[in-house]
Amino acid sequence: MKETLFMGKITATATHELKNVLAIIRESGGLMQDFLDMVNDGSFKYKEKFGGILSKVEDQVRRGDEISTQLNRFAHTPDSDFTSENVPEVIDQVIALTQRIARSREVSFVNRPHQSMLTLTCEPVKLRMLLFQSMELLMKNAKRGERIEIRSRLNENKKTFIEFCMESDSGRNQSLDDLETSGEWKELVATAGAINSKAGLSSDSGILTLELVNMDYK
Amino acid sequence: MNLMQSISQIFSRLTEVPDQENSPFRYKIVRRNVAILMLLITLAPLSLMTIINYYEYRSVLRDEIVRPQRVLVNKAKHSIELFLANRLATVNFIASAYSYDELADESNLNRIFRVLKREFEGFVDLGLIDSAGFQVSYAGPYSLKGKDYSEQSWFENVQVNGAYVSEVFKGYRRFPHIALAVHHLPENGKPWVVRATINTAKLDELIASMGLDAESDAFLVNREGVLQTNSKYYGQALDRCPCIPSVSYEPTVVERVDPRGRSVMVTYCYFPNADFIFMLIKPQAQVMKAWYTLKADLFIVFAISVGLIVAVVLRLTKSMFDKMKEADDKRALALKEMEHSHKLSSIGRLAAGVAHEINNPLAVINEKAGLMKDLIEFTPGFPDKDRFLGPVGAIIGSVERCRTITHRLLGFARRMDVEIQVLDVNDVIKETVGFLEKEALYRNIKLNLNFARELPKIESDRGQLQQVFLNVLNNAFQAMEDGGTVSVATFERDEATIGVTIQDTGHGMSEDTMKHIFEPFFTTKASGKGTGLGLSITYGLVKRLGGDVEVQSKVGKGTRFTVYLPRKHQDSQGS
Amino acid sequence: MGGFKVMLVDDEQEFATTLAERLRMRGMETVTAFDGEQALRALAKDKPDVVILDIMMPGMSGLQVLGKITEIAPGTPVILLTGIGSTTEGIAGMKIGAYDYLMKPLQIEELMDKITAAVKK
Repeated sequence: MKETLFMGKITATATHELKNVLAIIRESGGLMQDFLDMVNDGSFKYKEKFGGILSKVEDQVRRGDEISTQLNRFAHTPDSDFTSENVPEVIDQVIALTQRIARSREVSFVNRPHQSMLTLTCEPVKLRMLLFQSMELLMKNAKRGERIEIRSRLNENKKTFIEFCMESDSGRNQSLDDLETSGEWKELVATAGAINSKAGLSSDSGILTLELVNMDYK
Repeated sequence: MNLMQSISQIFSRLTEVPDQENSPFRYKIVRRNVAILMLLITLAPLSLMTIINYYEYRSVLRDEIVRPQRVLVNKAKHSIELFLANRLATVNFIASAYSYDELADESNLNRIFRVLKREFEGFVDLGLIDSAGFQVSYAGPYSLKGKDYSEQSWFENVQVNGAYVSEVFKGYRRFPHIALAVHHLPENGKPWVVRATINTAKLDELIASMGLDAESDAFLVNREGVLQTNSKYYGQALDRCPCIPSVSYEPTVVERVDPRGRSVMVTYCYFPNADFIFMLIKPQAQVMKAWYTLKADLFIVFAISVGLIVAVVLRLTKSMFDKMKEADDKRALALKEMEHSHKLSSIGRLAAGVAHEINNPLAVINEKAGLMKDLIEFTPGFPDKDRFLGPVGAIIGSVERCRTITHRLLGFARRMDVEIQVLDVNDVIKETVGFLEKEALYRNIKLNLNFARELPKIESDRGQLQQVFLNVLNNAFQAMEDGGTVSVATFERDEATIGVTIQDTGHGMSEDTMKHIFEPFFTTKASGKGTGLGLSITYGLVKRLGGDVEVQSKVGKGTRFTVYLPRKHQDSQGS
Repeated sequence: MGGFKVMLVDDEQEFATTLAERLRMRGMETVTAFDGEQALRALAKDKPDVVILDIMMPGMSGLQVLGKITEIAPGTPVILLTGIGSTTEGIAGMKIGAYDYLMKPLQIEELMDKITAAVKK
């Protein structure tokens, strides 16, 4: 069994289960709310408080459910060699998945596609890996509060360009040289190479560039 | 300079390795280029040597062949010259030795002529001509006495030059001959001319004495191209011969195509004192016979060498590139496996991150539910206590379940980092089986768990063990039709080792299959399904954890995998 | 049981306030902080008996805050909160001076035991 497939299967099962269990929580909360609504004589002094708590629980369930959905979708990434996908959507997905790490580093990512439809035929798992590794690298490299824009467009040679731009030029912790010799960067370049793509670093505002090539069915 | 540049350009293009490493044509291109390069650097000098040899041999051999012909021609020319000079000297002697009156006396002249014919062959007749060109006396077979030569050009000529050798002509005599005339000018009195003719038989004889072979031809020709002696192939004396080579008083060799269409080698020489050209004609084919043989030998040697070199180069490059490809394939495989683990760890990181993210809302829900529980429990006389405690308990229990799920997921996501901990294998198996419960239910597969009670805990890596069991269980599931049974049992083998057996009622394996199942890329599944990495990974994982795997199987009965795991983890067993 | 001043540091505000309420119901005095800087300021002002500190926080991480606490107020026991599966971080924290670590979601009884044990130490 291919290991990615294995991971995907495990994750898909786990997230599916999570969603089920979260539904149980939601239903239990709903049931309590029903009880609260039935008590109208003022004998229940925590009615307001319980109502507040239950709505908070509801919020958190929604939050947990959203994350589970995202992870589930990620787990269902087709494990095929080539799939045609919409790049801005994939970026959205990876941003959602990376949110926690980004938040703990106080970095935010903004998806700024040049066009809303930008299809690319590629190995789906590797494309996500490449995006994730790029974002990981930049998160380590960015200063607190940095906003990183991810701009995707199609260039004149029909290659898909994804640019990661930092809002402020001074937002970096490491020098370009340090970045280029880091293990993360090498890993990233290897991933890019595996799908015939190129990754480049520059010192201007568009700090990291990915040049992706359509891998046509052969 | 330009040539050097273009050569170096070609070389660099040939030695260049194409960039696209993934291209399946890469080996073909490189192999082709290397073969071309090797052929170039071996065949170019060989061809050059052959060409140089060819021309060297040719010129040497030509010299070898031509020199004797030159000598022959020179010799023949000399003997002809000598013959003519000798006869002319004889005539001159007669003209000088005798007086006009003696020569004018016919009986006297006849006597001299008889002596002359006896001593020198070839003389046909002899005559005295006075200064007016009138034939005074004549000795010979014709009656030419009284003939007037004053109008003829040779008479003028002899008066001016003192001596004259004619071309071959027939004249009154009807057969080819040469006239020799000497002009004698005594101290006093009138001058006279002695004229003799000789036949050309002696010239033919001289040519015949050259000892030529049947194919060759030698003859005299004058500068107008009129044959002076008989030729074997180009006509009789006085016929026209069309080929007159350019003037040369040294023996010269030229190649020509004769009127009969044969390619011939002509050796010729002009006479300096007479209007003659001696020509020796030999057919090329015969002359160059040795050369043709040598040429054929040279060509055969060249062809064999080229054939050998091409064969060797092609074989060499083929075996070289097969080896290279094999090595590259091995490396690519290793790289692929590496990339695989890379990919996994990066995906693992991502999944782990997200699993943590789920943890936050769960923690909040847990506290919220906990708070409600607290409020219910800490408030004396809480109305409908149980009614509220039910759902609160359900929420708290659900959070606990979520916690288990995420924990399990993280265990898998993080299994790349070996994390040795003391763990209960029964628990690990229970968790792993949890993943397959749904499939088991759906496919009506019975799962029997026979756990040893008080199984000693072992030091191992939870995630890796989970993968081991999941792989083996997956394998068991795949080997069975719906409705089979998988039995999992744990036991203590000895003080240092515990064992886990996983037995299925599937289709089993042949002995041959069993030998190979732990090899990478071995698969009994239809091609396209799975890479066959599963069991080799399992084997690798167990080995890495210091354990061992045994397989027993009977076709049609099922397969039993036994995994042995050490109780103590040893660092020396590698990462 | 109870009577201790507990400082709760967690960026998840709902979590921190709810847990604080539950601890108060069990007789604890509580202070809440939602990031590292706030926690360090409160530490000097409120002088808690025990600190419950989440490791995964934006900005200053829990481990960084832990380092500061052991500098500013050595002797104050710190109980770390980690996500599930992050045992390594918990252990790393213990190496630099945390009293113990617990995994989220918490069992309130377990937390209470840990707090009591930590203060009594």
